[in-house]
Amino acid sequence: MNNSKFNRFLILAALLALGLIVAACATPAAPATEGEQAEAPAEAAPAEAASDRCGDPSQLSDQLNFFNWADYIDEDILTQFEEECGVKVVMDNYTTNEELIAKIQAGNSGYDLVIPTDYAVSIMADQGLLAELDMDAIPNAANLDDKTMGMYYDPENKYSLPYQWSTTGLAYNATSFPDGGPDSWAAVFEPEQVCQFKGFVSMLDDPRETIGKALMYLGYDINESSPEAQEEAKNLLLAQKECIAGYNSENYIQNLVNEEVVMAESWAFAAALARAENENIFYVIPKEGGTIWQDNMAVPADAPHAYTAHVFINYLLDPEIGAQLTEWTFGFTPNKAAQELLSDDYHTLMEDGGMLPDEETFQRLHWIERGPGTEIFNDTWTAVKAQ
Amino acid sequence: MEKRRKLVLSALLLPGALWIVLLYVAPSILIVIYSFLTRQMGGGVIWAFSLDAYQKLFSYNPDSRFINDFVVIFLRTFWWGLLTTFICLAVGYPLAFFITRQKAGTRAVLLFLIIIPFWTNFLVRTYAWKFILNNNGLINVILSSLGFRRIPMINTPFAVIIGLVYGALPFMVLPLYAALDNFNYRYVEAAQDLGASYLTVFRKVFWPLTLPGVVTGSLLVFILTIGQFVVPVILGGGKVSMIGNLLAQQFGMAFDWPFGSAIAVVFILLMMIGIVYYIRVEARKEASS
Amino acid sequence: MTAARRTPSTDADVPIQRSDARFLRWGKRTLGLNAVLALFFLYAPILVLVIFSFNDSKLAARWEGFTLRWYGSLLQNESILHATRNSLVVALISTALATVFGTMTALAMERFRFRGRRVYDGLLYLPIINPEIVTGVSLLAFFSLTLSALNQAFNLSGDSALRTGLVTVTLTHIAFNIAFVAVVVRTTLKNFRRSLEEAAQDLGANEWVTFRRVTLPLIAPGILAGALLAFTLSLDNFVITFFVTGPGGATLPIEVFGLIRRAISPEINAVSTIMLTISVALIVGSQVIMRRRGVMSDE
Repeated sequence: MNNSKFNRFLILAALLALGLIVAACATPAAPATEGEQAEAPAEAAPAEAASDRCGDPSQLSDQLNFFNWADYIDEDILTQFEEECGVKVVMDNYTTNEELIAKIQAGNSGYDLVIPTDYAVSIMADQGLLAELDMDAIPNAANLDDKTMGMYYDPENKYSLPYQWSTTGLAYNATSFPDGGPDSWAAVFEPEQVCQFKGFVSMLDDPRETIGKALMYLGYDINESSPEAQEEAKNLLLAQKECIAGYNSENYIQNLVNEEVVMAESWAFAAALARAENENIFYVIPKEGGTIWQDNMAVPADAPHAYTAHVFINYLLDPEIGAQLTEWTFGFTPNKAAQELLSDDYHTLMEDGGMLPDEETFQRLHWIERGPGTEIFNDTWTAVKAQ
Repeated sequence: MEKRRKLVLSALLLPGALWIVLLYVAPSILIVIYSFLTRQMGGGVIWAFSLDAYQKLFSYNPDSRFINDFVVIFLRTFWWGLLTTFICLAVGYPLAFFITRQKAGTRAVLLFLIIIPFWTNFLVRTYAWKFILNNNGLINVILSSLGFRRIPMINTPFAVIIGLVYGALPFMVLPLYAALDNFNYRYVEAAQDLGASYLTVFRKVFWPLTLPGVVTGSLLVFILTIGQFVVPVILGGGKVSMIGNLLAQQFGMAFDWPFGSAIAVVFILLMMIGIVYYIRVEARKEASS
Repeated sequence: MTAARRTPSTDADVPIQRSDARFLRWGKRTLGLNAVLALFFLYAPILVLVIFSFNDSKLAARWEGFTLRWYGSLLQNESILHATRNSLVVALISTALATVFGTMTALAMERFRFRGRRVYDGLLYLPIINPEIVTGVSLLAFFSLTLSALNQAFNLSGDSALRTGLVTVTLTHIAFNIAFVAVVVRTTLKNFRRSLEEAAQDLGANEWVTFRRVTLPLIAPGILAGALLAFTLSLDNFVITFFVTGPGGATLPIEVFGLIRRAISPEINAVSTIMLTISVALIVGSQVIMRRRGVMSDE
């Protein structure tokens, strides 16, 4: 009897759950997946509404599949584009370049627009995963600052146009440094200095960034891959390890805000986001140097809606949209026209917080390059994390 | 009759087998193949035979405490897995027993109460733990407001074990519940009638009969725990790796798919040896009974 | 028949020695205490996230005042709602199918002897022991091979081409859930008294009736435990799902993973709280209905 009662209970619970799911499914249609959306007549196509920011409306698809870094665009921009041009932007997120590459490499991913970081552009272009951009469809490319173009990973900007750029340096909480903030990586690498803040310092969970900083502190190039230099860097990291909170590139922004850490190897945009919530947070590129990096817009070779992707790239390079984008990401815009439209709040935050690099600081910023021999960084990293 | 039996058997087996073979056995063969190929910068593999991955995995490193750093990571992962399994068993066994001794309605409610926290999101739960264990977290704030010293808990192995146990506990309780619920308490009464004490009854009757649940639960907890890689990052500060982190690194930033595959092959082989041994023992038990 | 199984072994049944009585009392208390502590352990972080869903601050770990605005903005947040819906659909479908197929597999493995049984027994553990990232990467390669072959065979391209998405996610979740359900249900079957089935058959019940009336009720706890496991695993899976999904096919864990860079958005806490509340309401609701029906049938 107990058991039949028990079974009835199960069936009932299951039925209720099923009802719930039916209700969930019945709610307004989700964006189409699986390419199930048919060649719908262009009833949604904005015949009159189409502004001049929409390219040739007759060539636009109904949907654009956008594969972007997590939390890297103001979603209002997507809505605006949909209202203005009648294209539904379906956005999915990744959190590392490697996830992006793996997905695109597998082929037929369905994505039309992706945002690879510098080195990932050259990897993807070398593997034939990116389509050449049709610059005629992107007149707004003229807004881009020449200084952000023609980088080592895509010298002629054949496959990519810059999206946002930023730097990697040191973020700190000024209340812990009454005599002025750190100006050298010694603050995190010299045990007697870092151990003053035992358990309150974090480094990025990224072999190239963190080993790179150790190399720079030791006087090497950030891309140095000789076994001797790597060994030295490893020992430096091991000496520091006991006194740091850990390696964190996921949520150290929160840690900075909540003062769980008082010093962190950090991206400039992340430090700015933290500063927006806690004004004690400052940022510095230490005297030994820091990293510069740039994320880029690119179209996969097998993108189903390549033309629409071009139009959307052009839309993102619009001065107003570009400014809106950067106000959200707290990165730096490669868009000269957008630069002028950025709000005073943004400028104040970036300048007072030390995020904005001046000409002199610029000389100390280096690109991380992937090439033959740089595999050794991963072995060094494994060794650091094994102990 | 024999023919009918065969028909029933194939009908029962077919859907499961179809799924397992197509979506697990076939891709696993792919992984074995990958492990013998050449790495490609930027991920994927170059289709040229190579033993590099295995050579790397078993190479001798004089700096390391054991053969090399990979072995250190394997051993740490297994140790944490065992510890977690043991704690889960110690908590989960009496808990499952407690649940099965309730009335049918209460039983079901309790069972659901145990699983419902896990219908929130894994990351959200782990972050909630971080909030509790932080330097300025819940426990420390309470401690310091009571005038005690703060205890550093976050970014330590202690926090990692808490996270691992938390994530694995229902995987111990549910199989144990399944085993205990089917338990025939007549055996216990019979033993008691014969004058056996509670401890003896437990040792001689109860424990052996619930062993399948213990084994299944322990297996699930152990396996799921050693595959973890988010908990050591969020609660352990990412300071030391488990196998999962090592694998994620190979398929991620290191762009070394063959090496990642080789680690996976060795790992799966090690686990399979354990499981085949278990199946053997089971088969022998069945044969003798 | 099933009632006989759970004859409560009240203490009065057996002559109790004094030391045993003390042991029993002590044991009962310890059991209860353990259960209370375990539940506290399980619900401590849940309590935290529920409280934070009402906290008037996006990033701070301090209490900044009560607000309902995260619930309001959740309703506006299409991507979280969409991902939640995806997660629930995948979890319910994969749980339902995997529970049936997993139970069938368990029956086949425990009740039949056949060639290759031992090998298959080992293979059944593959989904459980295969590290998630390895499963993810290998399935991505596998789906990419099969889908491109299919696209070529049927000449599909552009929007009509087959690609990974919620369907491949569901197929994958069914696969690993079958293994988990089978393992748990087998636990129940191992302790199972065949004599009951034999008795039923001696009394003239055919195989199907025996299964439905005797076997199924007896293994129900195992099936329930397996189904709960499957549902939980599916709802929580991130790594494998990430690799086998496609445009518009993000599930809740993928959405959440993307959000932690800045902060776990309080909207996520809000959605978790809503899901918790609904689950609890579901359980309590079905209990209440059961009780009422129980009263009626007693009359």
